[in-house]
Amino acid sequence: MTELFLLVGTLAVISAVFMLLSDNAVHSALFLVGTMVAIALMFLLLNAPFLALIQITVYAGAIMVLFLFVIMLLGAERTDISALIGSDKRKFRWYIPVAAVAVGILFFVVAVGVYNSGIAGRDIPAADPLARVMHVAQDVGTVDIFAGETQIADDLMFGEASDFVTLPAGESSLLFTTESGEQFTAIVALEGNSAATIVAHGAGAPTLSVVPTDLSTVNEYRSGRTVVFNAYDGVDAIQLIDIGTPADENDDFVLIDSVAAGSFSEPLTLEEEPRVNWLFVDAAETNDILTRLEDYEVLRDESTLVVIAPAPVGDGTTRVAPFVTSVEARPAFGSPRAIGYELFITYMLPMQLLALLLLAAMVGAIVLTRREWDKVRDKVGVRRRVSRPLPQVIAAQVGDHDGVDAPQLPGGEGSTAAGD
Amino acid sequence: MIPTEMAVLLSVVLFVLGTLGVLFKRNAILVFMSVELMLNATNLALVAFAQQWGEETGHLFVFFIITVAAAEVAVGLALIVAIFRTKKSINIDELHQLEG
Amino acid sequence: MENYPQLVPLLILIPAIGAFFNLMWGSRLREEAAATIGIIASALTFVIALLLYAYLQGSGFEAAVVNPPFFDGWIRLVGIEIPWQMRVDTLSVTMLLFVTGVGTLIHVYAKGYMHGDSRFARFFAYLNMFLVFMIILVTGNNFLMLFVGWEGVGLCSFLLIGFWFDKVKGVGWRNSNAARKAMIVNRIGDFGLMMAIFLTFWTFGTLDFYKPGELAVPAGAHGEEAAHSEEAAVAEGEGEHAVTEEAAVVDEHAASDEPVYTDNEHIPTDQLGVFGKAQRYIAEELDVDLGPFSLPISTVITLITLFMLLGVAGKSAQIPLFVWLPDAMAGPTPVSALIHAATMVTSGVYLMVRSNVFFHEAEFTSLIVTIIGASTAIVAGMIALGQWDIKRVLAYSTVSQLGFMVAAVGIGAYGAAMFHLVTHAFFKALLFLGSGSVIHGVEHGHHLAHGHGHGGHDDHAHEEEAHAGAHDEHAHAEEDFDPQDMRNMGGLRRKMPVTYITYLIGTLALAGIFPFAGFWSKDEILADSWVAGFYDGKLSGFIALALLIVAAGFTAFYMWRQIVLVFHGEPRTAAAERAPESVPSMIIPLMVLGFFSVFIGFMNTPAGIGFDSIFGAHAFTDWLGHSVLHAHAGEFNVLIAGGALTIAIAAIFLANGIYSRARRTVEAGQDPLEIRNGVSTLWRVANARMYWDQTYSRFVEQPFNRASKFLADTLDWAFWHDYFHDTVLAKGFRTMGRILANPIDLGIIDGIVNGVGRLARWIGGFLRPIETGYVRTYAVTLLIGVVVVIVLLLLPLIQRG
Repeated sequence: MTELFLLVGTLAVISAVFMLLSDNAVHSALFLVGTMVAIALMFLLLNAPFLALIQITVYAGAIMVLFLFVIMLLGAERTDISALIGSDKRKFRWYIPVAAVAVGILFFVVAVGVYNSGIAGRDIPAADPLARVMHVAQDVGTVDIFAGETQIADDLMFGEASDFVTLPAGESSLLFTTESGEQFTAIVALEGNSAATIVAHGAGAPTLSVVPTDLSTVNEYRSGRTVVFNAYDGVDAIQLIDIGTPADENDDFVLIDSVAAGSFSEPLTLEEEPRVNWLFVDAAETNDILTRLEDYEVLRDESTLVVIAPAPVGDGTTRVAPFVTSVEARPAFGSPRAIGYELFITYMLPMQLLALLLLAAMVGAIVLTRREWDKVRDKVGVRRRVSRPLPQVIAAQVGDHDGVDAPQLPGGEGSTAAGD
Repeated sequence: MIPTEMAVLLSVVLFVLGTLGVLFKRNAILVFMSVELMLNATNLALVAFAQQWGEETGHLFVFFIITVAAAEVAVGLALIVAIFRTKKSINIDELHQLEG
Repeated sequence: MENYPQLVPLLILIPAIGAFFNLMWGSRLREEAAATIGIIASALTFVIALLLYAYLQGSGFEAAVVNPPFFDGWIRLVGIEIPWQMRVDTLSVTMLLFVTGVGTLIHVYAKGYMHGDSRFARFFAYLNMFLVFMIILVTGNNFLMLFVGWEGVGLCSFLLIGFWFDKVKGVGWRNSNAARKAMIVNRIGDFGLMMAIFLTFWTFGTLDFYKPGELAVPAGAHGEEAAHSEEAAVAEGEGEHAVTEEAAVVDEHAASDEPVYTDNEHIPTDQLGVFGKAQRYIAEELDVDLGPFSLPISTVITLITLFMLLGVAGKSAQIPLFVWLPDAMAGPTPVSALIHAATMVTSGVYLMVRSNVFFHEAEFTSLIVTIIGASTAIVAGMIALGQWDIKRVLAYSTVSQLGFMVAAVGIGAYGAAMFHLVTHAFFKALLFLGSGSVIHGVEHGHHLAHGHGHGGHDDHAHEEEAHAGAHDEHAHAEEDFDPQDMRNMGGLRRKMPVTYITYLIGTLALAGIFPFAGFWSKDEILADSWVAGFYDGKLSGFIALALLIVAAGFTAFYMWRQIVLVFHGEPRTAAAERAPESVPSMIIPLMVLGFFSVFIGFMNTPAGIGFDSIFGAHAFTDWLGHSVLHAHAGEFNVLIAGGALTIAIAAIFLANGIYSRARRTVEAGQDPLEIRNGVSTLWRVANARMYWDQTYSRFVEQPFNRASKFLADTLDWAFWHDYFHDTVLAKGFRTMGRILANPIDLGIIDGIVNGVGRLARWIGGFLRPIETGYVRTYAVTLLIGVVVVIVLLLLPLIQRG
């Protein structure tokens, strides 16, 4: 892989250098296209297939074509101005050493920085494990589940699973609070970078079993992943038999040989199917049908957990029943679906804004390139004359107006006139 | 998995080349193309990091950059066309009317 | 009959309506109509007064207090309650009768006198207005209403005295000066009355004379009634005895089950009026708290009465505030007659008689009162001797007679004072109206003699010009004729017989000749002063007796002098020769008044000299005694009566002797006394009115005028206005403004602002070369900047390695 990458990288650099050195603008454009293709290949190598696609389609296919269009339109393939450092302006000569120094520094700094950053051997730090709780404990009824400060579930009923929450790696203590106020505590151990379903089962105080849930993408085409957990301790092991549809007879298919009590099976990859009938039988005596799962739909790209557990029936007895919970598997890294998820869920707003930006750019381009009509020029009209120069205005207000028309007092002789 | 530092190094090389193009080319369209090169270089670096951390956010950012580049190219080339109509030249050294 | 007091508010309303009507539309009416409105209004008030008299006669002289309808409560504040109540008792009805009676006659007289005047209707409006206020004054049941009337009559006298203010040739100024003088001097007196009212209110907490239900004169207060009340009491108890009128009345009351109170003992002190409270306070010898100190009640009452005296001196023209009354003769003669003879000037005496409880208690004040009254009587009498103007003589005579009344009050003879007041009203009004008639006649004669056919309005002009005192420059030599100067008269008894007869009656009445009215009233005063002096041992009595007898002599002398000069002998001028008798509307009131002047004296003849059969002995005093606590009948003193009569007759003969033989002296314009050694100086002093006005002018008016002129011209105008405002404030302000405008505003502030602009421009110019316009330059700059930033960001990383 690395060698391939080096090869493609070299191609990219060479292409870029030629782009710069070429005299002909069209040649430069084509070299740029080459660089872009090399970069697209590198995207592929870097597990970004979607982006590679976009790079080719948009960049190389649309933008560079536009470039070529404009070059052709303007007849800009002439050489005199396309050459590098052939400038007849003396004033720009000093750019050369400056640019050289600058880019040298840049290169050097980044290279050294990258190598010294220790990215090389760094692994992705372990993410906190995701966990959910499946509640098939017989005697606790509806519970509230807390793990430390985090509330995992609120009023979780029998046979239901909570949502995934992030718990700290290592051991965590779960606190079950029943409706009547009873509290049960149990401890689980979780690994980082994993997702797990904690099945709470058993009579009396619930027992916790950690079932790893594989949330990664289901690689098989149109398939889902199923895991069976046996929480019934009445028998030693359970067998899962797919009896197909009533239409095909004698076609019982053993999907899972045996699942011991208190343990889980291997993940089973099943094709999606709308109607499935499963039998759960005692592994020792296959004629002893414990419970069924009828008309069940297998969905693709889903990770399903089936828990066989005794469920309390209203009159105090229990009956074995299957409890299904499924979660959607994550799409593959770099796949369009993964990118689509991010785009449309987390970054919806920027995407819309970008769409608006594109629209504006389109309109702007059209506006900029249309022909000017002559009648606009006549709008520039006569210059307005200033009414009176400012110094004259000030002089009129302040100036030499003392003693003008001051009011005269009655009885003139004793009064001093107001003028000074 | 490709070593991230190698990809970043490559990205820097391309970036530098693009910078040189921006500085020393007189043809406006060629300057523009150098800018595109720089953008591609940054895209490369982003994807490398996305692969390292396992996050698709890097891909998304590249997606955005490509979009913006497209818009920018459209507008910029329109500008160049408009300028060419009046000045009959796309030599950037002749475009200094906005000087102080 | 019992409802007659309900008519009292009409007493005010009717003349008020008449005045309003004449004010509003009188100028559009003919003279007849305007005069008729005034006369009828006045006559109606007289009718109502008669009805009230009848009521009182019928109701046993009980006072009635009337609250006018729709006027419930006048002043009602916390702690001050002064209702608008009108009092109908013998005293107020007495005043009412002669005010309205004489007033109506004068209204009739004025119709003829003011004929042709340009503001005829307004004159009647003013006369009616005067009546309104005079009625308020005499019928008010509290001091504040009295004060309202007091001020109101002062206002009306101002309006009426200055009625001819618009005469030309400087005469109008004289009139308005006289009006103003009257107002201002009265104001000084009003101050005194106000202080008295304030003190009264402070001391007693109320201003009502007597509250409703309170008896002004308890039964048994006067000697005669003691017998009656005893009988009444016995009759009440046992029902047998000789029945007198009083007892019959009391029986009636007893029969009708009403409680009959013979005194005020049942009323608690705080529900009494001023006089009732005063009596109780005096009896208990309370101290009055005046804030920082307290005084015994007798001292407070002395103070109150002293202040009242000041008011009386102003209104009733006593020393030292009498100077307005002679000048008030500038007004038309009806005004002089009504206001300054009969009614307004008597309101001072009324005030004192009404407050007889106070004056009876304040011995010291009474002495002062007597001194002032008696000295006024003599001084005014002396001045009257030296006057040539016919109305001036009468004016000073009025002042002198007022002095008599005031002195009578001073010695405690309240009944005598009121009696003289009533009689004086009649004959003085008669004399004034007569003098008006004489003046009219002389003027007419003047015009006839010199062939002028002027209308009546010019006569008034002459009257005014003449009466200005000094003789002004006139356009024609003929205008130099003063129709009021007695030297221009003479022998008018043949030309104006009716006027002569009535004038003679008035003179004899005034001089105190038996059996005319003045004899009885003047004599009673003298008799009472004799009693006060020799029996009660009061100093005031001696003073009064001595001075008043002399003043009586003077009175007779100058009045007969006037008769001789005006009516006897031969006419001294052509005007006097041709003087016709006056029109009937002027003559008839003269005759009516003459009749009364003869007979009115008989209403208060002393007991025991044979005149009892006419009205009953001292009927007036008895009648008055129902309202005035301290009114007592005078006893007939032959010595005094004879002595006074002798002196008066002697004075008449003396005057007759002097003046009938002095024809040539008088024709030359001089008085015989003027040229006789020994008395000539005195006479000249009298002629100069004893320099009272000049003294006041020199020592009071001029300093005051100078002071106010100084304040106005120098202090206010020159200093405050000119210097301070103009120079200091205005100039300073303008200078400051200029300073702020030019150097500060233009120089500094504008400099700063402009400087900032210039600075900005310089900076811009300095930095402009950076903008080369070349894209390349910008790109390099950007690059350098970017490199710097990146180096800074990556510096830590580089240093690590």
